[in-house]
Amino acid sequence: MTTDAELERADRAARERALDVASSFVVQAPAGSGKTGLLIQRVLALLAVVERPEQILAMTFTRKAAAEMRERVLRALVDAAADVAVDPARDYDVATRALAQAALANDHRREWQLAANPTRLPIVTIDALATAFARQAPVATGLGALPAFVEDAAHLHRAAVRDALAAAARDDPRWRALLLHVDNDAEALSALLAHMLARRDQWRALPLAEAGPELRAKLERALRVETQTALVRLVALLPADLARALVAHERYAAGWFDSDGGDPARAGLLDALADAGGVPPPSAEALALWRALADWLLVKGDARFRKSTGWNVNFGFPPKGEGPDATARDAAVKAVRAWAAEAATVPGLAAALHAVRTLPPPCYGDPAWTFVAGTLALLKPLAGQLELVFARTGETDFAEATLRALAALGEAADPGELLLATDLRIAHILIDEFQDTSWAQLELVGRLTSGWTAGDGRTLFAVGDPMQSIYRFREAEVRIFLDALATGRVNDVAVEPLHLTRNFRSQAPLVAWVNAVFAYVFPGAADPARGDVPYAPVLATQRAAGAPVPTVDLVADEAEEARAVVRHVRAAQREGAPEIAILVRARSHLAAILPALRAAGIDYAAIDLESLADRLATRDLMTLARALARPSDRIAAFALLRAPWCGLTLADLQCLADAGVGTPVLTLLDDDDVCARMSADGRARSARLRAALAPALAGRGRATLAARARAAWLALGGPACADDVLDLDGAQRFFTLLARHERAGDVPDWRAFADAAGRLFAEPPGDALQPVQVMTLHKAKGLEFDTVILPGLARATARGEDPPLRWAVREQPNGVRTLLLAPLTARVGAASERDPVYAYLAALDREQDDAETGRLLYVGCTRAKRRLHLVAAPGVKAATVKEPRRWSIPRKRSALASLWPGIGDVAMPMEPPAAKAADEVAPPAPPPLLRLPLDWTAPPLPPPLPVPAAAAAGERGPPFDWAQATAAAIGTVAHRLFRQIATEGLPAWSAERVAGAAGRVMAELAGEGADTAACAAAADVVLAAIRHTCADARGRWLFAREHADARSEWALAGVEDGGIAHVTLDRAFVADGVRWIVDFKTGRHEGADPAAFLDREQERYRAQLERYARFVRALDPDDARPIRLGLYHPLVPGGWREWAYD
Amino acid sequence: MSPPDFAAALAAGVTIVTPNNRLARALVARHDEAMRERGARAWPAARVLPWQAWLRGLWQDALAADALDPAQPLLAEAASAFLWDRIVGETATLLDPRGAAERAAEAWTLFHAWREPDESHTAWARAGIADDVAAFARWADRYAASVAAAGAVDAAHAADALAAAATRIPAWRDADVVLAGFFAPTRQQSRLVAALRAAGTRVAEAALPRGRAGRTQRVACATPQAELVAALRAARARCAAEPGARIGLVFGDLDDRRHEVVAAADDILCPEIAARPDAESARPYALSLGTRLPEVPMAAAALALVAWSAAPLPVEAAGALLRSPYLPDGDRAWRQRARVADAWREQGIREVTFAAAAKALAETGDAALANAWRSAAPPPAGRQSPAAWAQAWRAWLTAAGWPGERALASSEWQARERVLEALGAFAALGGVAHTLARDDAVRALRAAFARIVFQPEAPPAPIQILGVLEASGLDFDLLWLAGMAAERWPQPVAPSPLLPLAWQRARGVPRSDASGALAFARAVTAAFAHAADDVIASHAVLVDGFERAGSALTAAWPAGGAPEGDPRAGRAWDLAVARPPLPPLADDTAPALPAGVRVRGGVDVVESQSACPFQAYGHHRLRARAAPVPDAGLTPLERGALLHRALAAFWEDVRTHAALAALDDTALRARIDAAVAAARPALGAPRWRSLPPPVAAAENARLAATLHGWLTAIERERPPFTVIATEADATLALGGLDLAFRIDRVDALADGGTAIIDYKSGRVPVPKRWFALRPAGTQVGLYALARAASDPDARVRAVAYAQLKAGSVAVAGLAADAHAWPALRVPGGDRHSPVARWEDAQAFWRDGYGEIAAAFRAGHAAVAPRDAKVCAYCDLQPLCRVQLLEEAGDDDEDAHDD
Repeated sequence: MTTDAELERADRAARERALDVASSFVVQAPAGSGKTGLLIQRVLALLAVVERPEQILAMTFTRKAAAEMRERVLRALVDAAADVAVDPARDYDVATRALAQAALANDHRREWQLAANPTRLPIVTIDALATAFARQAPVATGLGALPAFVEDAAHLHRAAVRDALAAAARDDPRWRALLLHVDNDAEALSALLAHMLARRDQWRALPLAEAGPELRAKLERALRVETQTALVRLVALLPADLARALVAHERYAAGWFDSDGGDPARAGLLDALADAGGVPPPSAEALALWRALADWLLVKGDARFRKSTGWNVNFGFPPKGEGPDATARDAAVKAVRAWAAEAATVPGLAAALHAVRTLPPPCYGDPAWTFVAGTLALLKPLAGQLELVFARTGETDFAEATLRALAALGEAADPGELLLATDLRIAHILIDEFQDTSWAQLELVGRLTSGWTAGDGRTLFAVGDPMQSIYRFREAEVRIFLDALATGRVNDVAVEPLHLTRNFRSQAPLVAWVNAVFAYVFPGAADPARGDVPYAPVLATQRAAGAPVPTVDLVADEAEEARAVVRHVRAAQREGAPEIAILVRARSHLAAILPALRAAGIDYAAIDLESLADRLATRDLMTLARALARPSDRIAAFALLRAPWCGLTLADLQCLADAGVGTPVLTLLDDDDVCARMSADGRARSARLRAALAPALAGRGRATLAARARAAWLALGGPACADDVLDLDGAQRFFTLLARHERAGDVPDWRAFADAAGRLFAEPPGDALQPVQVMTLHKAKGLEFDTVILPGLARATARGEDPPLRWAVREQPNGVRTLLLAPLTARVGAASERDPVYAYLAALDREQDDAETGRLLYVGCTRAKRRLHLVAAPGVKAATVKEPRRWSIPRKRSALASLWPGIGDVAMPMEPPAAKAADEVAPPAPPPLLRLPLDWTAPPLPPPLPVPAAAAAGERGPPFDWAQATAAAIGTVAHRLFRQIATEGLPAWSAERVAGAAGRVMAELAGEGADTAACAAAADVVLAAIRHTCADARGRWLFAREHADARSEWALAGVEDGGIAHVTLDRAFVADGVRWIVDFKTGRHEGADPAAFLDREQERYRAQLERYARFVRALDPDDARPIRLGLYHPLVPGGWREWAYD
Repeated sequence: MSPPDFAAALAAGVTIVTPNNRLARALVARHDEAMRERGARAWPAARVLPWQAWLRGLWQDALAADALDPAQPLLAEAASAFLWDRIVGETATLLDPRGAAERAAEAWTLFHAWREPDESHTAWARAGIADDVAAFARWADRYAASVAAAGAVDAAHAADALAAAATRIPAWRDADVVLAGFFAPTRQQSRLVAALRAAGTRVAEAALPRGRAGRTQRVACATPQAELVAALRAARARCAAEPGARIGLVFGDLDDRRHEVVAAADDILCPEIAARPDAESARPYALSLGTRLPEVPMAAAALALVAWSAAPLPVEAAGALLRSPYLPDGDRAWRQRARVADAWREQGIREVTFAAAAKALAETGDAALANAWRSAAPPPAGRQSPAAWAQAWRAWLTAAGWPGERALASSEWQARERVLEALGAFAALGGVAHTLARDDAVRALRAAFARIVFQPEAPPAPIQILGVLEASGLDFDLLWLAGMAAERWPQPVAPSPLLPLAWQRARGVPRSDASGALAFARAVTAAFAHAADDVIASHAVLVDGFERAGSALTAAWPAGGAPEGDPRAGRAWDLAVARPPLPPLADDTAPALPAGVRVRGGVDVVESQSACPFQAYGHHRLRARAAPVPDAGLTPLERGALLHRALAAFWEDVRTHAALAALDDTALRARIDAAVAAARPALGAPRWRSLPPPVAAAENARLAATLHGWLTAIERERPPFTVIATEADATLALGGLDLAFRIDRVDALADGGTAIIDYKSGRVPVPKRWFALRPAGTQVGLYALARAASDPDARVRAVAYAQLKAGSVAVAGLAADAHAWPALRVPGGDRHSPVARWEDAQAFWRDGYGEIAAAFRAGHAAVAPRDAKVCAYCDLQPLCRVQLLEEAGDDDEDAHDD
């Protein structure tokens, strides 16, 4: 027994040791021991010695934890810099300040400016770390670019399986084996394989490369070892004399079965047992005999020896007075009863014998093996197919990030080069919540620390609490922590185990309660393979006088439970509790509680707890979106008409239905004949709906589906139909989600969208700083509250679906690791039996789940600082003749079940309540039709904001014709040359110079995007235009030096139709008192009658040139000189037209 | 250069160069506004160019001066991108080669911008360098070679080529250039400026026009949503109070939040415009983000058509195209066309050819489009030049009817221009790609579209919503900087992964190291502080449930009060507040059906009326039903159909129990195989083709195994019988309805009377439930009634469901006596017996089921599910509006963390 003083001494020593920045540690930090505080101190201590902050890498489990740690480190530095006063009585704060000052000094010395640049503190989640690799090594990771990592990638996994199956050959034996195993139910098989794909970061345990009989032999050997190990343990438990004593009982029962009992088969089994000396040898071959023995000695389905009354005729002991020899019979019965009574006192014996019943046989059936081999052979190709899906969709799951990071780190010559944009290698790694690390994450850490040698100045600091390992469903492996504690290594890094033993959070009575309760909830000894964590007691430091002890309420049902919760919240509020938390294991446990809180007027914050998808308002939004996007969906169309914003009666809906299924329902609304058959009310309501939908329908292609759906929702009065504020927030999030899922105005994958909408959660009126917080136990990890209420303790959680393969890596007593692997039970023929290996592995899995349930309860109880209330509704067992009315035994896998054995010590015994009258459980009334009154009108819109007048659309030129691209390029390049001629003067442009410009003209044409093949010909055209201009009298006149105020490519801006417009004039000058505005056209005219062509061109460009003239006039209104407009076609004979403006 | 000079420079027509297009446009707009305010009606346009456009101009100058030897074109962006795509795609196996190519192009530009003159990347290809850098160096070699082979110079290199040629370009002598708004010019830019100066150009560097009051303030908002609303409210208030005020709202994470920002901006700034998604009125705000061309519906339709000309299209994509408004008659016919795609999906078809679509359209009477599509000739399959491809696609689009006949709104008109321009740009790829195979060409077009950001031109809006970098250099009356949290500002470092980190740091590449990022953020913050009369920096306190600090860079700004008002506001809120009482109406009765009416749905009418009256109404009267969509394999309906057909075929062949008993296992299996083969036509040939091949192949084996299990475990154990009917049509008048259905099987029992069997491929309801208050499993009772009605002499002695579920084949039923079928329950047999006498069962069927049928006829359609399971397997929840009942065992363990 450890004394308080020893606990305290050990704790202080451990905390001091943990700040040694030259050593690596694994730290067990129980709830309330100030784990985050210790991490922060170590980060500060490291900051005082490193060259760059990026040499430190702190990994946390959640973004929130990362943010918190960063803020707290930053706060410590900022406070130290500002010399904010520290309470000298608070040891932790004083120590932290000293560390912060040292860190700050290093910051100044090395000019990091951390306070201004806190992103330099590399505190990240493990997912973010993997993402960082992907970002920093797009080629090495094989990603190419950072994909969109999606939390729920089920749709991608499904798509991969579907694609693989569609591409498979008819006679592919692997697929055939798998399909026949599941009754050719390809949908079911796809789901199973998609499930496997989602977990491919765990495949490393699987022998994907092997196959064939060798693998089968190897795996069967593992089964045999597993079974024999268990049998050896059992034999060791069974005292030799007890075993020998069995022979007589077996012989007696065998004798009876053989004669009067009339069951020679059982007689044979019992004789065989006796022949073996009472018990069979501990070998897998003898498993059948062992099972026979277990069934003979133990009661059915339980780990209990048969009680005295149980030794009856069914087990070879005839009733009194029967049998060949009454005296012998009496003696035999007496002896076997005595034997069983004694055996029952041997600790663990009954359990070990019971376990024999589920031990796996040492071989696979052929169909089972075919399925195993087929699945193993298909996994890699499936993963390959998944990559194609990733590539196609641009979406990727997080497992891929981890796998790719692992692969890249494994291959990189210098992993440091990859790390977080730093060119110095990471020297210090801190891992928070180490108990929830997965194998893949451990491997990632292993890659980061590969090559570390003792004493090289690099350190690992893993901290956590195996008692709080609660993330099995995310592949957390508590044994990683237990192994580290036991072996003093994390991968290849030697770590010194440290244990914190003081609790700074909870008041003493609570700590004492937890110490007492969890000593029996948790197993007595550590067993890493089973996930068994023993309880480590802690020392309370908060010793307030008269502090309350926890309460346990047992109530009849969920409604009562909700009332109890409300009662506790109110009481806590009366006491002025600063924070009150309601913590549950699963969202569904809140079904009655949240409405009860709202009904009681208690504001609360609840994040991600209340599903929006289950709410009518959200379902109506889905209906609306669907009706807008998928017009052929009849259910959506009718639902749209039935929803409160329209509210057609059944009779009116029937009118539409009777009009036939050939026409989409909403199209029928446009049919006057159909509408005429509806009631007047129905007609008015449909008309209102049509009007409200019209803009959203007409806006197809112009606005996003989300924007159209939103507009329709508002026009329909959707918000006025919502019955809770929650639904307005919910609608915003729904539309945002819709926008994310649409592509070019259409939702390509409705199922993925609907799945994602199913993961939307309501945000209740309170904000996250509300005193009352509701969350799951998983979310509560790391938090603390004055008062904690834990309802729903009698509820069990459903098991997930059965995976297609189950496997487990087992460590045998001799240290050898073996792989156990089993297939899902086949569905074939008339009747299938459950695969025994699979069942065995499922049982192992369940054991670990059960162990975790206890830890989850621990996490919940240790969140409380002052008050803790446990609430459970175990149900009531009706009175029988034998027993009075009593509480039901809690369901397996409920938290209450683990608490139950000692419940009398922690809860006042309570009378189960009386049964409810039958009329209290009447079925709910059908929902009434709720609808927006016809005369309802929306409130007026707010006044519009002033928007500047749009410039007139102007003339929309003829549509861009890309086929004319070359012609356009010719024009552009020729214009550039005209401008150059204007600058340099015509004389500079000799025929030779024009001819010599060919190369440059070609380059310019290419630069303008002219069709490459056409460039040479186009250059000829450009040069011809220039040549003609230079030779032509009109051309020479246009560029004559004597013109006044000559400009080329003259860019003007001006006011036009209230807006501002820009124009560019090719050429303008003043000649003989006339202002000329001339446009050049490089078009050619192949046909006859160039004059007619030029006339047409003049008409075509008249408006444009006159517009130029308007700009020029506006430029100088005082200039009264006449303006003439000209159109110059150097490539058309006689290519000149001119006319007067005004 | 001081501010007045800056304006003068603008007026004097000096060329002003900006780092980006947005600033260039803003400066022009400012100048124009100033001129207009001065009363001018027209004026010389300001000459403001973003750096890249200016470079292109300089390149033309150089070409005009023959200063480049040889005269080389400047490679178009599209051509550069095409080359990177090709090189990266050919040399690496990457999940996202196109993304990698974009990064490589960026790295190439960055390398040129920051390298020393004549510094080469080639050394980085050596071993010992990080994989990514080495890979980039190898790509870069190939890229440089390709550009050289094309006889061109690319944009990344242009500035260096121009610097080298500077002194040979007369146009630059005595020219005036002002560089405006460059925070940190690159080495390459500095070199070019130096060269220009050496060539005689006067280059000035101007700070941007400031002269703003710069009243700074920082505010903390509760959440990111509250912050967004506060910023928009402030913008609205300022805009309303001061028409013409320029307002900037800056969001650091605009890219991620664009949908949320747009919805909130619509709601707060212009609900009247948001209400008309069809009208395209000018909004009072503009978002700096454009849309990638493939996301623009009109462009998406064009792209899908081009892709369809080359290969079958996935059904979802084909469906989206058929619903597009940009096909002929798209606004009227889209609903009918949607049904064509539905039919494909229901058939399990995954990909569909263009020709098949044309055929399907013709079959639905969509003659105009069908004819157009049938006569449209797709481009040929061989290799062609990019220009030839572009030309062929243009013709193809026209032939296929794109973009329909709708009167195009302005944005649509611009989208069409953009698509055609993109085709034009594709045609110009001939310089770098001589010819392209069809699939490569389509892929390249897709890539080209994806690189184009489409942002329709609109009149300048008073409120600009921008990202941080886009906002720098602009000036406003009110500037709101959102997201100025410690963890976001300064931004985290983001060096290029493809260039050596040490190199980037040594050259001072922005954001490659922390101190650079900090210095940059400081400079930008300082500029923002004077970029408006009122500057507000905000951050959200609560993100992910944890409190966040504001950026240290704005910590010295005076703290403003928290924004007032409920963040839950806007149009939706207004409507919710105006919520009238919704009077409940009990509307659970549909019009009654005439007596004796024949209803579709047969026996399921009674079954579902009993399960939930509304379900019967929805399915059988509204005929609203979600068609099962096959995903990977056969649907339960199809599997059931095959099983029924196979069993019918088997018994049509074997006929009697005696014949069955006489078959040895080999013979039995042969007969089963024959029956299974005979069942295959239950699904059409197209459906068999659309199935994954292994599934289609395995179906025979599955059927055979199930039949074998059933026949040996159940049928062979029965007393002798003769099958007298399979899949027999029958009718029944019940409760005023005329029900028509098909009875799976009727046996004549050797000792007299008949047995009726219904095949089910899932779990079957036990007899107890047939006689419950709300019965389930009503079919066999109805069959018995029908049989008795049609042949009063044929005594029905047994009714049973065959549970043909692989792995648990069983029979559940009721027999008049123990001899008829010993495996079935007998009335009064034991305490599990549902009825005391056989006659009671028959009476219950007649009267109890009759009442249910009568209720259906009377229109009883209340939403009253028998239990939660009914809803779990029902598709009508959107319509019936039932509040879902919680199912037992719904306690899922959830993950709720980030």
